[in-house]
Amino acid sequence: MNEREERDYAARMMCHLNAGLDGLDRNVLKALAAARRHALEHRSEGGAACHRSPVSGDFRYGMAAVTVLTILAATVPMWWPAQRPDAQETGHLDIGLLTGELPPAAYIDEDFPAWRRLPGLCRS
Amino acid sequence: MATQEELDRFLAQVERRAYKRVLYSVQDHHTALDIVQNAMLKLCERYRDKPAEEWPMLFQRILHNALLDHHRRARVRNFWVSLVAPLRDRDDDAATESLEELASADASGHGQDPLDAADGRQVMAVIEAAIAELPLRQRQAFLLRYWEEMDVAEVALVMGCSAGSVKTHSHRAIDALARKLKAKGIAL
Repeated sequence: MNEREERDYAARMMCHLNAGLDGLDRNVLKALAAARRHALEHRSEGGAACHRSPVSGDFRYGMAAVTVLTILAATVPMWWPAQRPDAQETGHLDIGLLTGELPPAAYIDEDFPAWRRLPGLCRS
Repeated sequence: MATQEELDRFLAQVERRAYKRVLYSVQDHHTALDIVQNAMLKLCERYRDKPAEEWPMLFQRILHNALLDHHRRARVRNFWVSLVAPLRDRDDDAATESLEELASADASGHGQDPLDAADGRQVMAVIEAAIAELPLRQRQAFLLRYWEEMDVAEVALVMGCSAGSVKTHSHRAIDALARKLKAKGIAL
């Protein structure tokens, strides 16, 4: 084939290919239109986020939320008891019981709660 | 600066051909859509401020590079798959062989029946199959030159090769297509 014959042959083939474009599946056309809209919306956002789809954006926010919750779940149980005002006192009472300084029956004594509230006790 | 409407109009003009071109190469509808969408995004994101006359060239270049990337990744993936292939069941191999036999029988039978070729949709399918079978660079040179109606210098710029190379690729593509279609009883 010479160059002119090639061009003619290609032109005839392109007629078939162009005719094929009209017969594209409706779902494909919808998907292409959606892709175009997405690209243009991306453009109007000023291209702040590179190639971000709604799914990946949600996923990113979801991951951030899970990370924050995990950190909170790990630190709060450690931090919260230490902040309770009676935590240290209870610790001292436990030490007193273990060392024999306090009798185990102290807890069933009616005056024990009042005794606990006295300042300066069990703090040696 | 170009407006949103101009960009929309341009993308609407090229999207169907772009989709088909990519589909010929990747043979998968979803992958083709992904590649076209990414090319649209890239054009809007990086080249929105360029003059509208430059968009066709830029878009084709983005698309061409995306296709090359896809094929590179596929080659790497196929390499690892080929390493694992001997571990597959013999049943799988038998099934593949029978499918190949069916495909070749179908292809040889198709060429012998000129009545089938008379149907327009079948002619279209045969042309598309023949285009899909071309080597990547031949297919790109041929489609960019004749379907996108770019001149040789523009195609060379998109493909990153010389004008002579574009002419050679498109000549070989037409030659191969003409032979394949003739073998199937189709004369354009």
